[in-house]
Amino acid sequence: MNNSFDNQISDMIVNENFDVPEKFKVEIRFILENLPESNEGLKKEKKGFNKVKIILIASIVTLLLTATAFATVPELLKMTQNLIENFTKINNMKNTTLL
Amino acid sequence: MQQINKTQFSKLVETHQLSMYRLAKSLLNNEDDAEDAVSSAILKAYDGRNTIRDVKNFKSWILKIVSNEAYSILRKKKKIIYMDDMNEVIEETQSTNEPEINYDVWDAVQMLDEKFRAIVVLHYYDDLSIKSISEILDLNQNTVKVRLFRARQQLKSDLMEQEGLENE
Repeated sequence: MNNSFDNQISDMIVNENFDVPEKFKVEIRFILENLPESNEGLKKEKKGFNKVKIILIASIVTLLLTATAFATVPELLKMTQNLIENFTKINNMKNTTLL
Repeated sequence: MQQINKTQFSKLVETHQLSMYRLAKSLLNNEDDAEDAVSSAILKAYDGRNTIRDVKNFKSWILKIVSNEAYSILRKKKKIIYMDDMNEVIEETQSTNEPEINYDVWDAVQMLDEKFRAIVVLHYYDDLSIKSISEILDLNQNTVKVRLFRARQQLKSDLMEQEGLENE
């Protein structure tokens, strides 16, 4: 059933005389004639642009999240300060033992 | 990989320009957009012409690039819809719904739903296999089969209505 319909369609397409518009043909010819012999001069996409954008957005989001975390949980600031102090103590101890 | 020079590339494009135009037109349903899609596809294809493994596959390869460019134009157009364009679309739809004197397959294809048009064009006009169509349009083979089946039904009823196609 489909084959018969497909054949009818194919026959109709053959008789259709469908062609590319002249304006389109001219434009294609113009593009082809003006192609460089090598790939030089062909427009290249800026590949690095999206990377920079993503890094910038990620940094801003991280900064905002950190600021919000410190603002909403006051103990967090104390904890961070204690942690830094502890690390400084350990570092100082190491330095004195080395001396 | 095969090295294709400018002359060979131009000849290949000229050979397949009708298929490229038909595919772009079926996806975009707009003359200017179809021209843009094909033009930028030619430049991209020329840039990557030496990545093609076999010249025999040039048609499928360039049609894939055309479909990618057409989809990219469609995506951009979906983001920006101006009111003037909306009116044009409405007018165009209204005018295409009017019965035409010389009704042919291409007219029936243009009346089909957006997702069916390119599949029908590649199947009937370019005689491509389901596998090739699925690769060109980036669709699953089963999706192509189902859409082709539905499109065939719609096409059949449209053509029977307009042309009095033989009812089996």
